[in-house]
Amino acid sequence: MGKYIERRLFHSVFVVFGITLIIFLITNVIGDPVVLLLPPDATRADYELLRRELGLDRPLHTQYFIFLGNAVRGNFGKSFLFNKPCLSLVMEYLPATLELTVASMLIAVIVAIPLGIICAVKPYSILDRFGRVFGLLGQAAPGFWLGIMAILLFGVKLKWLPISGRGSFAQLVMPALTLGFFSMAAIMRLTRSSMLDVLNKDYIRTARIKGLPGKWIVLKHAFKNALIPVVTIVSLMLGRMLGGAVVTEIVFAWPGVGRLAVQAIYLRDFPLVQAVVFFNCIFFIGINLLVDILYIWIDPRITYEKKA
Amino acid sequence: MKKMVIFVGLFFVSSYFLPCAMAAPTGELVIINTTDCISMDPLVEWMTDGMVMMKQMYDHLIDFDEAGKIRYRLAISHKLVDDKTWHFKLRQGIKFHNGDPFTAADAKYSLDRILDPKMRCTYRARYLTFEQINVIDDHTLEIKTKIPDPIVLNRLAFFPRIVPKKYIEENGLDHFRANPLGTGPFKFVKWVPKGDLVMEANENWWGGTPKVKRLVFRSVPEMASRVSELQSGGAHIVTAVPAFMVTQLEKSKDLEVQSPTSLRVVFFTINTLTKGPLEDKRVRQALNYAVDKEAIIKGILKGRAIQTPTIVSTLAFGYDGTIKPYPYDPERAKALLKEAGYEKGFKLTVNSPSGRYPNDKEVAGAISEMLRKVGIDANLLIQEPGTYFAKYIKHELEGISLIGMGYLLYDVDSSYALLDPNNPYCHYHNPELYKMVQEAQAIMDHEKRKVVTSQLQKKMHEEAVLIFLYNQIDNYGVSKKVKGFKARPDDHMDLFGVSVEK
Repeated sequence: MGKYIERRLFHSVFVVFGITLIIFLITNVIGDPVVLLLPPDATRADYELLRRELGLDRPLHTQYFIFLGNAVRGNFGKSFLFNKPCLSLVMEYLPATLELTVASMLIAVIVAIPLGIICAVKPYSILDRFGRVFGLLGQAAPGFWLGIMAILLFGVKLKWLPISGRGSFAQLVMPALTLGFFSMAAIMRLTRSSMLDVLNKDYIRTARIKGLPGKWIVLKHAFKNALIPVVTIVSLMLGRMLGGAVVTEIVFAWPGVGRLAVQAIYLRDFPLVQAVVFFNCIFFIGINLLVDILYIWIDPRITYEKKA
Repeated sequence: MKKMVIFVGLFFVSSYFLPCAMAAPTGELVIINTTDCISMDPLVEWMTDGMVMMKQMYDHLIDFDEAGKIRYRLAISHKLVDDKTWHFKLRQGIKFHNGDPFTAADAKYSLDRILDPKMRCTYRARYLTFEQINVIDDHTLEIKTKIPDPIVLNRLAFFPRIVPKKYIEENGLDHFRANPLGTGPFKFVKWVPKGDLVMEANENWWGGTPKVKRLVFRSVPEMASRVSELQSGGAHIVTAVPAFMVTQLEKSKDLEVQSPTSLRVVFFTINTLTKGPLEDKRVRQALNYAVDKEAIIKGILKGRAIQTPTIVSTLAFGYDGTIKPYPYDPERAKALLKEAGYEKGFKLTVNSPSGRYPNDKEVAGAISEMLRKVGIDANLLIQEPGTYFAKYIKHELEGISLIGMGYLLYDVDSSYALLDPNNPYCHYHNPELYKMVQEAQAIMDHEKRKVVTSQLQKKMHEEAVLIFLYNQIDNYGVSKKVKGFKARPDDHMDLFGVSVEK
């Protein structure tokens, strides 16, 4: 296992390197940040001075190697817009994204997994039909629309919940539900189909014949065997959320990394875009590694060691 | 006699307590805008919404009132010693929020920061005429300019906010930015980046005690969410209400919409730097005749704009209201095109950013259609703002390009960038007009300057340097519980006298 983790971490370095190179190239060809940082009456001399101060007058490859050299030491440079270290900026916004992500995922998992199990155990029942419709709508409904509808109903019409900002539990409810809804639907559908697949297996039939209690069969035998795809999709959803649920954060004015990233992209704040992307990479890689380790715990037949 | 003495004594004793009891600030005012602060340092904070927030904590030496007139704040008078020397007498007895006294040294320090290239102030270009700032004594400041500059007062009113020199030098810039303090009517309490900026009333403010105890600013970029906050009662004032939502809000018994004329003027620049039809004045005039500005204002902007015949904001000094706008006359447009040799039309790109100005794409789309009706082969090209402006200043956008210009200096001076061949925003080079600009910039007498700027605007109009469109109108959603708030053309908010009913 140790060797496997070492191998994965080693490969991750190349993944991160490749992604930062791609993002660096993309951000540098999509526009000039200096234009957006100066007012219309700025002179050409002002543009050139700012370009020099931001290091944008250097050749592209020089800029990239400087960035890389600093990044490995944890220095992502200063944001063009905020004139503050990018690392500390990302850290400032990260707690809000973590709070929203954890809350959304908890809601999604707590609702989706039991619902998926029940739908699989009672296929084609009214509950199952409801579950399937819910799953379809949940994945089809755009987050933007869902958020605005929630605001209009719970915020404006019923006045049950505050609409924007962060600080109280009440302010977390709508954004967490909105962000969790898509994941909830996806996890529910996969749980259901995975459970259906397992429930048709011979060993489940054997367990029934042996007279084991139904709940025991479902939770101990079937669910554990159906867990691997569910864990996979939960990890993918988590990575997506941690990357910054941009739409949700903008609709609810949630002060997370997603909003920071959008502002950085609009204003061509290259160092900040690169810092945000770098952290997203690390999270994805970390989550994927954790999930791979979790697979071994779920299914002891899985091994990553190379066979002699 | 004895009774008189007792009465007078009681009167003075009670008058000591009475103002405190009457003026104690109460309540919380929640304001929602579109953009969060970048920093608590007013030097770094250059975006409009951020500047509005900074103004609550930091005072200017002078600023603009809601009509654009100069208003003394930390300065109480000024004197033009000679064409290049200004003296300002400063208010005495002012303290920063930490109790440190305000003196001319703080004013000098605050202005020097703007001029220092190392501080990377975005608006440094607007202060390049300032040569030196000197302290004459604790309450007298001297500003020396490199050349005669008739709008020194406007420059001081627009941006520079006074920060505490001693506090920053003792504690460092990072500490100041995390624990900001100024002399303003409100004191910093806390700021969650992209979250709430909270301030509380400075009961010792030199201008009096604010009526509201707590100010909360929050940025909500999404328009529907912003307006919903107002409708739900979660906010008291909301900025940037889109035109199509105004009628809905006005129907509510709890809300009102305040619509000040903005300082922003929207127009199309015409790129004459590339050889082609646009170099011909008749073609440029034809473009103006071909566009039905009133229809655009009525149909797309729902009446929330004012047609303007000139590039200058209707509220700025130097605006010439006697100029008649180009009327909508497609037949005249066709005649001019024919006269210029373009009876069969020509290819023209209509460039617009997406989402940079209210309804920018829609306006550009409508204008493209109007130009096609007079035979011009108009091709609409919408681009994301970052890409759009990068190409614009490199002169890569051929044809006509939609631009909005803010007159935050309340002066015609803001328009000169479009005629200055050294400025990347200039797509039209005319040495005669540029000479008039340089002449106007050197005239210190405002009445004489007005004559020259009026001639300049008339000439620009006759030359059809731009496709003149409209002066924006802004829309603020305001709860009827808010008393004393009046929306301003320059986006700023005078919140000192504003209160909130329970």
